[in-house]
Amino acid sequence: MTDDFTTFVHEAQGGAFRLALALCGGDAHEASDLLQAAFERLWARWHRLQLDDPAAYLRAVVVRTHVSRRRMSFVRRERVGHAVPDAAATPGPHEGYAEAAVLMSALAALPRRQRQAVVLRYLEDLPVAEVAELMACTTGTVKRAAHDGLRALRARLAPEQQRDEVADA
Amino acid sequence: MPEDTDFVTRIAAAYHDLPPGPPVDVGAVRAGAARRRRRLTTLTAGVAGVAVAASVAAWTLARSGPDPGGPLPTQAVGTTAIEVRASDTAQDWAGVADVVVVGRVTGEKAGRVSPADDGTGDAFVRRAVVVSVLDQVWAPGEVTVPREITLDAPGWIRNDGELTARLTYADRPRLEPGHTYVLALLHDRCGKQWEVLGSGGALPYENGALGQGESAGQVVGPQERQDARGPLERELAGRSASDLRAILEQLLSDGTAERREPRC
Repeated sequence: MTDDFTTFVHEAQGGAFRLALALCGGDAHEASDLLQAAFERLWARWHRLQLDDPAAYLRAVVVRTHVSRRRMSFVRRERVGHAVPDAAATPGPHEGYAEAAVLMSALAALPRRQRQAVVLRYLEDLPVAEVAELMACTTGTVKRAAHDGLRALRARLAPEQQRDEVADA
Repeated sequence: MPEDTDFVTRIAAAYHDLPPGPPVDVGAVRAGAARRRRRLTTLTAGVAGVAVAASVAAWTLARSGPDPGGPLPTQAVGTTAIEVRASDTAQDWAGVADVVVVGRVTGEKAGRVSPADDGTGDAFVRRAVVVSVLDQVWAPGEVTVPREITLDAPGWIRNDGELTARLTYADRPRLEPGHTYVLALLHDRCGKQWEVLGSGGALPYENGALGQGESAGQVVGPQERQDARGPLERELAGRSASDLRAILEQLLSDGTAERREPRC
């Protein structure tokens, strides 16, 4: 029998992975690791929380897990598993999706705070106040980071965009 | 600005065009959550007390932070192979560090707090450690290091207002008051005035010997650091800061290492 949590995981994993992948700059291994940790944290609280919007809660856990990992300075917690990752020769999830792959590559080049702000504000389309809460900073900081990030992103993507337009023409 | 709107629309479309990732294994999620709970509640009762006892005098003088001293357990967390910056080799130091100094930790205080967010009520508390700079070992360019700098370091686990464990990176110096280290530093490069290059950017250095001092909250000596995790520390165990300087200078002069921008 499928329980509520399993159902929720199946429904939410696609969007949550996309968010994790963007926050990790297109690193699919790191995104999977982040998503696993986020679901583990959600499961630890699943029966104690009355969640009106579990998807929003999961999004917050993904973002805060990402932020807290970075606050552990230059490292992440080491995870030891029995399974050997076999994805080294496996195409990334965005491969075959040319524009998405270019976007992930451009996001990876952004400083993390700018990347978080751009992803949450423009790609997830969240209000500035909610982004500020997720990033644990002021709305002014979010606006600045999102603005700078978007400008840097456009500078990186503009040549790609122009090339595509020429090709389309 | 319409141009911005068009651009945002375009990147948002590309973002939402991403396919879903690999399916999440719910059983593994549940098992992982159980492991996480056990890991955080079963704190490693290490032999940190020995190290604390060895440096108790300096500790008492230097302590200005919230650490009560005494036999708090030390919990070592691993560093992954994927660090923001590599810092384990002489090439890493020569290529990226702005300066290498000998510094003695003289004080500490609690820094940023971030909740573990895993239902345990634990929070990670960073430390700001005050380092008295005793000597400048090497720098690839002009840099002025003040006599005292503040660095970010692993701190503690706190639960319900009480510190329950000291955090350290496994097999790396924790930067404890009363101990001396050789430190590879970045200056004004990644949003911080002073910052250790990476988890391998600090080496114990006492009595003129690299590998002598504190690592992961324990007193260590050069003999055992010959099995240290970092190749630079292994290579230099028992040698002096002058030997380190000669190696770094040689790497740049013969082109084995090239200066590059740090990843931030």
